Amino acid sequence: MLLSKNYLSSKLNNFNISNEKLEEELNNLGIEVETDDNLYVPGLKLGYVKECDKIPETKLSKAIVDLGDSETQILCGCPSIKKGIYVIVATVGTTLPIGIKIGKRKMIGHESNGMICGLDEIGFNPKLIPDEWKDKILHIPKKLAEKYLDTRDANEIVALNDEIIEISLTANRNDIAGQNDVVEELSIFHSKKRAKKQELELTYNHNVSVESDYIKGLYSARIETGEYDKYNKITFELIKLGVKPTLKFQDIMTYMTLNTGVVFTGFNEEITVNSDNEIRVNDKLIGLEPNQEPNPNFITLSVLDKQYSRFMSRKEKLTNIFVTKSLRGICSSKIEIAYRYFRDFIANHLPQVKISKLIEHKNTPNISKPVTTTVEYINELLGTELTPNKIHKILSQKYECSLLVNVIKVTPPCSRFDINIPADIAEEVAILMGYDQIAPKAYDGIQLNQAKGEYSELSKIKSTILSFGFNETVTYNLVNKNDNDLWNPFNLENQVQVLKPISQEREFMRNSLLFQNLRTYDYNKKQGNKNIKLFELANISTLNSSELHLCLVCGQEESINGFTGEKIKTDFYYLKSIFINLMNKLGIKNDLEMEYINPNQNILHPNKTAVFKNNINEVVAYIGETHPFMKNKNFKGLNVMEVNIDVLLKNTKVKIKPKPISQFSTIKKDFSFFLGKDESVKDLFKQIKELNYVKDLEVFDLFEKDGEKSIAFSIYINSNEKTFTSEEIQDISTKVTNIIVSQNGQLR
Amino acid sequence: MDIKKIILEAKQAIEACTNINEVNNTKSQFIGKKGKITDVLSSLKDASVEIKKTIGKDANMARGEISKIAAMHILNLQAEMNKKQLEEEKIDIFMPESNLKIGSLHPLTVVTNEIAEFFHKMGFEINFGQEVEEIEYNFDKLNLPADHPARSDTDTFYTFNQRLLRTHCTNITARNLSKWKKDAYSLKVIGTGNVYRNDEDDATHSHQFKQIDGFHVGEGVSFANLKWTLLKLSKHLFGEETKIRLRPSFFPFTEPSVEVDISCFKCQGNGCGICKQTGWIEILGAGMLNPKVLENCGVDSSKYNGYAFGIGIDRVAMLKYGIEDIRNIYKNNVEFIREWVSK
Repeated sequence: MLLSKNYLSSKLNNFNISNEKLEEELNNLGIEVETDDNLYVPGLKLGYVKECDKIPETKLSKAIVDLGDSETQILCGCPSIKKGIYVIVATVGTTLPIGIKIGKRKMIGHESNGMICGLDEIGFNPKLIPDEWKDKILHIPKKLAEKYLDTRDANEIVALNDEIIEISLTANRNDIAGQNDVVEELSIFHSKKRAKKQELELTYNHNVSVESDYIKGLYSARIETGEYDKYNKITFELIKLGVKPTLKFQDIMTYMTLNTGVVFTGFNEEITVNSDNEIRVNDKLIGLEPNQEPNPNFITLSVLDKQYSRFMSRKEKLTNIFVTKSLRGICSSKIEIAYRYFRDFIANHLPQVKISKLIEHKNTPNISKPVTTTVEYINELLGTELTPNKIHKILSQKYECSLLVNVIKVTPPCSRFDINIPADIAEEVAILMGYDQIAPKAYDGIQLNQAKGEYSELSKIKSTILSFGFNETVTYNLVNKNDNDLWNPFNLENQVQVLKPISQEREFMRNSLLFQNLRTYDYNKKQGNKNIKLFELANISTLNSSELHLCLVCGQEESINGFTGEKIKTDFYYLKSIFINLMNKLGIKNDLEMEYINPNQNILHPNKTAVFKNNINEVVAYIGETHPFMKNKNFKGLNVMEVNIDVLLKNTKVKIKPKPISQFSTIKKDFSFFLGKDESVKDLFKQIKELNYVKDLEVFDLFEKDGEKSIAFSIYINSNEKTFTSEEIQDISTKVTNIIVSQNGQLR
Repeated sequence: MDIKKIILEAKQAIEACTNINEVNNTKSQFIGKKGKITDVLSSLKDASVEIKKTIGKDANMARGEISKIAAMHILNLQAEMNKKQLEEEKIDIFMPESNLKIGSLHPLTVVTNEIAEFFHKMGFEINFGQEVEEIEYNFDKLNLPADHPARSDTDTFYTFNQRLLRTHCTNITARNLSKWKKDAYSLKVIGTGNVYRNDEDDATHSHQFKQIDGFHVGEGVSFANLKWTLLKLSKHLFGEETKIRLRPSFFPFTEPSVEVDISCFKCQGNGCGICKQTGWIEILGAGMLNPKVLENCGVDSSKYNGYAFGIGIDRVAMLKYGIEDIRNIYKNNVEFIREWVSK
């Protein structure tokens, strides 16, 4: 909503305040100031074209302009320039709002000392300038110009000696619909100026019935508009306040609407047939339709049906002013005030207009509902210690209010639909006295206890992954259907589909974090970033569940140092070690079952990808490499891991039980053997690790030759109780070789 | 031959040696079984006992002397060799370091952590809630009237089964209050996570962003407590000098409702680009929970009051770290994310 500072100033006493102060006052009332614009253009003068000659073979005219204290020559390209008119002149040194600085110029051999302006050049929004004044210089009628011959300040003529303040309102303040409502609010800080009262001679009187499904007229009157002066200041006020003028009488009603917040609608008597001295009003509303009948001779002040307002706004592509106003809180008392305002305005500014007596229609008036609360309630809610009298005094600044012992009864005006419960009264007390008057207080019971919640596990996960050099990502959860169709590694059901998505790209909540992070990897690669290692921790939601997932994406290897040649293979085994480290960090027992991923998909390599499952066969994680025949070439050859953290955390927790530190040294024994290429070390290593005294197993060589793989490994033997004899070591070695042979291994 | 001369000769010979073997060989040329000293002694075969004694003594002294010279020279040579070895092992310490990098948290996580850390110390429980929420918990219980514009499907993403993608983390407030057993005299929870709005992504809008919502409900919880909490939070996030300003506002779930501004951390309230010359920056919305919300969640509003607040994480991150386009937050450029490595 736009406000004219001049208008506020004309209605309030002691209003000569800075914009900062005004902003503070409005803020304290809960009205947010978005922007303020000073419209004044220094250097704009009223000029009189004394001479005007076309310059041959150009579109330009050479004008001699009288500026009062001097005469000057200005070249002008507007075809409508002629001798004997008053115009707006931007003198030398003026900077126009459109960014042009006026200087002395010479064009095609002629001097030009200034610029003759149209409305769009001096700061009026081009979209709101009436068509007949658009893209041309403004001719100011002699009658109007003569009023300004002493100052010659053109700003005053077109009402630019003003500042426009844009405010925004919270949804509860439907009552603030017009500039007068803001005046009413500000009157807490500045008393209102008394309006001049000038009663009109009222001549007409009709019995009126408003018959419409849409309009609920409360008051109506007949008017005689007389001749409408389009150079009326209201024209310029409307553009300033964001409305395109029609240059007809209905501009007056629009302006009344902007000021009072009540919808003034006009009708033309010709189209509303009389019978028995009755006027029937149909649905053609002149005030709402910019280019309809010129001058109405019958007005109503109405409450419009909300649906109709919406309908009209869409159909007529209206500026929305009437719609928003009519949707806001209009109550009968406001309408009466609006009517009186209108009548006084006409009496003071538009003597040619005659208006008949106000006719009131039978309509249910809005009734103010009092709200009762106690002093204790207010103090308890706000944390204050205000006395009953103080609270009464605070509220009385704005509201009808009574105090009985400690019971406060407030009757808000009927337009304040938002004040219904005691908490609303407490809020009004806080606003009126100022929130800065409430002293901050610690809650007595604030305990500095250890907070519970899911947060500590989260930071453990993140710190583990960070230590491996992965960078965190936050990607969008909404993806296209194709993503979900292609890849559902955790077998989710009841997918979440957005019924009205922004686009197909953002239609489904994702099944997996994988694709978005593959895309992020690809983006980073294209950006030329090195050693890209990404992780994301985010919720995966279905209609009935929400589970935390972790996803890691990295390339095949990471160059640690070019000149020393150090590299880390960031392959399957690398991610597997991160996963094991993560489980260790979370204190989770690693009793997960591993298997190769289902080969019936084209996302991950069927023979380089493991699926981890828990003992109730739920998928906990998968680790692997992207499929070499994958459709999207950019995603090929990446190593990925995704863990369902919620399922992982269901696993048994390991308790910390420190073992005694062995007094005896550890013995290392090496073995090597061949195994068929397609056979796995799965059970072989498992059995060896389960042998007594075997503390660790480390593979130090693996290569393939002639359809067999050669594996070399060490075992580490240790006991807390003894030093092993060579027989005992031999015994363990024999057990190991027996296991190797029993699992189809050939000892080398 | 004069013994003294031999010592001198030995000294010269030994010191001319350039490696330890040479020294040992040279040494034995003088004091070995076939060395020059032995030669001298053998030449005394026919000399008198006295002379034998004297010269023998000198010869022994010379043996000791030459051994010493040799030992000394070996030490020197050893030192030289050590020095040379070290020099050969010299690396250029000005070559670039290896490329090991610890990972960085995402800026949204950094800000979330900073806020969560504060409330964690204050004894607030931290929850993530659910992003796919029932309409009841996202709107109905929070006192949003049926015709509230936020409910329209042009603002909110709806899905099946009376569910939607939550539009704020206040659903966590509704969830927690609804299951509160009143076993403690107050309940303090913050909820954080993704929220969704049906907005086209641009420099200041994102269809997905993060919030932290929190509340404290209990006996005697007042607006003054809210103000204290917000003041402390602002100081925690933006520095001890930070001031706050409360402006009246309106939210369906709170009454009274305020917008909270902090004094600009860049210009200390003097006016700059960040605060649009006002000296103040809007940072969050807050208020006392509307009694209707308490009642909707089964909390007796005649016994309990509570405050609540909601913070946009993305907005705080953008303000605090001067990020101009919200889309940059979701691009996940690793070079961008690595800026937060110290957090």
